[in-house]
Amino acid sequence: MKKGRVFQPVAASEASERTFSRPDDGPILVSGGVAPGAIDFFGYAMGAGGWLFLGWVTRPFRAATSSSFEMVIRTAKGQARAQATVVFYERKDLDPSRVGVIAFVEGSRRAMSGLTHLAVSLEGVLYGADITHTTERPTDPDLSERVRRVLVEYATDSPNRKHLLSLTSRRGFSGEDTLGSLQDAVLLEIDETIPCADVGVLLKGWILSVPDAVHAIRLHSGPKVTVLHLEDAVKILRADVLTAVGRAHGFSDPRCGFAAFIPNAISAGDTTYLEVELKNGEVGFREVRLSPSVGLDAIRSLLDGIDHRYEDVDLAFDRVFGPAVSAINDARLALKPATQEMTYGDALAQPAVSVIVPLYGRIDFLEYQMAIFSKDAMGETADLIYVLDDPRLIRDLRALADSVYERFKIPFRIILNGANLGYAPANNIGLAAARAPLVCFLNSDVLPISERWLERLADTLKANPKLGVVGPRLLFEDGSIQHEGLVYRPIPEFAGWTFIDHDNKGRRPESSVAVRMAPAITGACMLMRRTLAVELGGFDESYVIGDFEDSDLCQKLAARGLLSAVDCGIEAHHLERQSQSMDASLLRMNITLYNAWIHQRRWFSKPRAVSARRASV
Amino acid sequence: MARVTVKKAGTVSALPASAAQHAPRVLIASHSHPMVSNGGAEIAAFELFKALGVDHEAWFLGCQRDTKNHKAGATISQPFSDREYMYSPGAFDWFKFANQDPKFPAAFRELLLKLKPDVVHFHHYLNFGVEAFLHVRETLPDARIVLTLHEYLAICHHYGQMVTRERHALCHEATLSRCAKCFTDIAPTDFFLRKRYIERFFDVVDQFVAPSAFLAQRYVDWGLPRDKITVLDNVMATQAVSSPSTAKALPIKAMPIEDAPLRVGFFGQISVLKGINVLFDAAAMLAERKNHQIVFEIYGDYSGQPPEFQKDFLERLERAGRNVKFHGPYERERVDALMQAVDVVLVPSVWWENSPVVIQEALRNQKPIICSDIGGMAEKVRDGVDGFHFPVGNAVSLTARLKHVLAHPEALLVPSAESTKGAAVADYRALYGAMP
Repeated sequence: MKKGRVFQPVAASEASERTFSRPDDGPILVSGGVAPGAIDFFGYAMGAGGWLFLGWVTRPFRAATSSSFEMVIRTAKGQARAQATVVFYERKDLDPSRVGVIAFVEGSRRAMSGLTHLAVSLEGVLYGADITHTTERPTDPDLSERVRRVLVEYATDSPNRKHLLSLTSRRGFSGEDTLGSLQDAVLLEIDETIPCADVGVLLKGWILSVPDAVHAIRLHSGPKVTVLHLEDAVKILRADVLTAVGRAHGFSDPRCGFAAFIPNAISAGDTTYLEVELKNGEVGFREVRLSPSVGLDAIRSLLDGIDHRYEDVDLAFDRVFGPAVSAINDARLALKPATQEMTYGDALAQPAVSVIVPLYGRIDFLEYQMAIFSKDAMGETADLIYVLDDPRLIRDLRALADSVYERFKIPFRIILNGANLGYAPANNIGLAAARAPLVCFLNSDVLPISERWLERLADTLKANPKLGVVGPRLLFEDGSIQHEGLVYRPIPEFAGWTFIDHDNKGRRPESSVAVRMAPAITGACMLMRRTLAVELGGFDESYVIGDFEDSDLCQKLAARGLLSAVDCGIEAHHLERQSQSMDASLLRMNITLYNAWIHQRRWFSKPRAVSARRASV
Repeated sequence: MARVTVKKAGTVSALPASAAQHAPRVLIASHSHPMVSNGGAEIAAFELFKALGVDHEAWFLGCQRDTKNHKAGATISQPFSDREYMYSPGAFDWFKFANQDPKFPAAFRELLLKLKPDVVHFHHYLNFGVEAFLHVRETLPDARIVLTLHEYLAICHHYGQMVTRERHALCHEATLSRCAKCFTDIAPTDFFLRKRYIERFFDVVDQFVAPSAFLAQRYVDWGLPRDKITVLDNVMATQAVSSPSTAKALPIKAMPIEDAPLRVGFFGQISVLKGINVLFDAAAMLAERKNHQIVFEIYGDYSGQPPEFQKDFLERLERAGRNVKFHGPYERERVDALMQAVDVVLVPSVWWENSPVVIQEALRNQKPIICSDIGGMAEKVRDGVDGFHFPVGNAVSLTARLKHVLAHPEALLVPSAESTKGAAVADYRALYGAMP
């Protein structure tokens, strides 16, 4: 065996991969020419999921006592430290001052590019081995087989030897689906793998297994290896699975479906696959295809088909859907699309109120509102801002806006969002453009009835300094009450979370025209001071599509000691949700549940404590 | 803010014709023009314009939705005469009668400022859009705005006919849910929006004119203030311009002669709602009983109808016996001559009607009328005085009535002079004069 090359220290600059800990700032004691060594061969072991090295180092003064060693890995770019499983063994081909070494470092296939040197650290002394021109680079299965042969023939029995024998006996993932080979013990299918931005991944699928057969299910993605904890997953009723395959294999659990959120699991661009390891050591693999959908599409496919009730709702949202949707939604909102502002007519020098109206799906509401506004000479006091949150309708809206301005001569602005952002972001874009000292958030399907409604709302707000926000009484088209204040109500069916009801909804209004205090009021029409609205950040954008933001805002006001009220002397029609697209009802309910979860955790109750019952893997 | 004045207008009969002391300048606006189409509303509007023009300053603004005659860039042009203007409409929302043509408001305002009429009298708001009332109010705050209501357009989305869409059943009241039942793809709330939109602009109108009391009542039920509606029939030419060649060529039969067939005339647009199938059913029943003494003469046009109807009409015509004769469309000028050639005029419409032109024409020609017993028809034709009613859509009753008339020709009364009078332009002058 050739003598190893003299080690040349290289400045420690950057870690090559996350798997390895960053190098210390202090000097690394290297043996240099004193304790030379060489690597005979090394390579990436697919089945073991890490790097195997075989070579020799200068024999340490004392035998190692620990089972895990620190290794220093030096590449062309710098050096890093990693934990390694090391087995020393006697080599008859070397002089006795040298000892054979086999090392295994778990991690990414890409981590060792440009490897020049590695060293085993023993009591602060590094025993190095260099890459030489004779160093071989075998690949699996040859690599693992060669290491196994050495372990079997030359290494003395030890826990590390046993561990390495087990690791090297595994066949790695070769792109081939080998889960089928485990089907006597486990049946598993992943229907959807939805990346949740760079925060994690949500897996939806089903599993049927013989009790106690599965040791661990791991998700591999490039350098990342994470564990799928089924006990943390949400169970889903999948009678269809049982009917189609389960019963034929002797399984009977109908709640075999699951949805699991795994944080920090995906390495972008890398092959991602699932590894199922049985207690008997058998291993199977299956590649998983990441869903290409992002943003609202991803949220929809994530929540689709989920039907949870009662206490299951807590678990489902605290552990799985809550973090998954939040991650996708945050990433979605981080991409601020371009907006374009169009001005119709001459802007008022000093408007009294900026009125912010988001438009989605239906733009004809602009026409209805302007027709009604024209009766009230609103163009003389209001800074009207329509925010189109529906890029599909940009051209149609511009044509309609041209015609509406010609017809009514009321100055207004339209802001065209480059993407559909949802209710809160659309309103906030309008808020940023608002110029008046007061702002009125108004839904497009609200049509004022009372004369001088906006002026009078402003008077009511100004009359009571304790008021943070005020809205009109809203009526259905049949004249019954749609809204005169929100009330909170826990719903047992959904984990006892607090939901929002409209007080007196559907009843004939009483003749009272009092200003009525309420815990919160609807965002369909609410007036408040602009600086206050800006200070509170407008509507909270954590809520998806549109729900609970109004209550959230009122809660923020309440936290500052400010009240919410409805002035029953001012009336408007509200056609209620005409402007929102109606998704399939279960999906719509799940989006509502997500929003309710955010609202609940923020203002009402914390999650239940997670019991310490995670199985060791 | 637009000034909205609601002033109670007296009934027409209470107003002296001399109210028009200093004759107001009137702009008559119609959704079409007799040179473009032959509907009752545009004819009524144009007749009023012509009559007023004798001693008033009057102008006519019509519409032509026809790209062939469109002069590019000219929103309002004058193809016919100095006093006639034509608007070439653009994008239009037929649901709530919103004019989405961005060029109209400016062009209309400019015309109003140029003409400065004291009264703008709209016949219809199709093509102009209901916002046109607001344009008048804002451009000429002192001008009075009059709107003649034709059909039940604001009330009913089904062409203003208050007849259900699917089965053509008579509808007595428009409600949000009933309308949404007719139009399953439209939500009740949309009908609510539609009404709020229309009402917002109707609010600007000073005076509504209903050609029949029946129609006036329907609009009051719908929500128009009663004191803003005056019942006043459409003006029509007292004598049609008859072409001598046709008028003289046709035999004129003043009263039925014994054994001579009873000639029953159907005039005007041929459609399901005009009751053509009631006529066919009655004719078939008579033919089955070998009754050849009653003959149906159909004058009119079916070419504007849906293809299914046209096919159906031609098939029924083919199957009909010798007691049904189809004469095809006619020029308006020939109607008097043609009516002279029948013994009774049949108006079997299965919708309410308003003030059908054919009834006015029959009365002018002193022809007895047999009509459905509903709506504007029942109001304009007094049962047993100007003719006879039969239960709407009931071919058996119609057959019995016709047989009775055949057997008792003396029952065919000549409509009285009182009922043939019709509305005069003087009534309109009085109306304009009575407005502040």
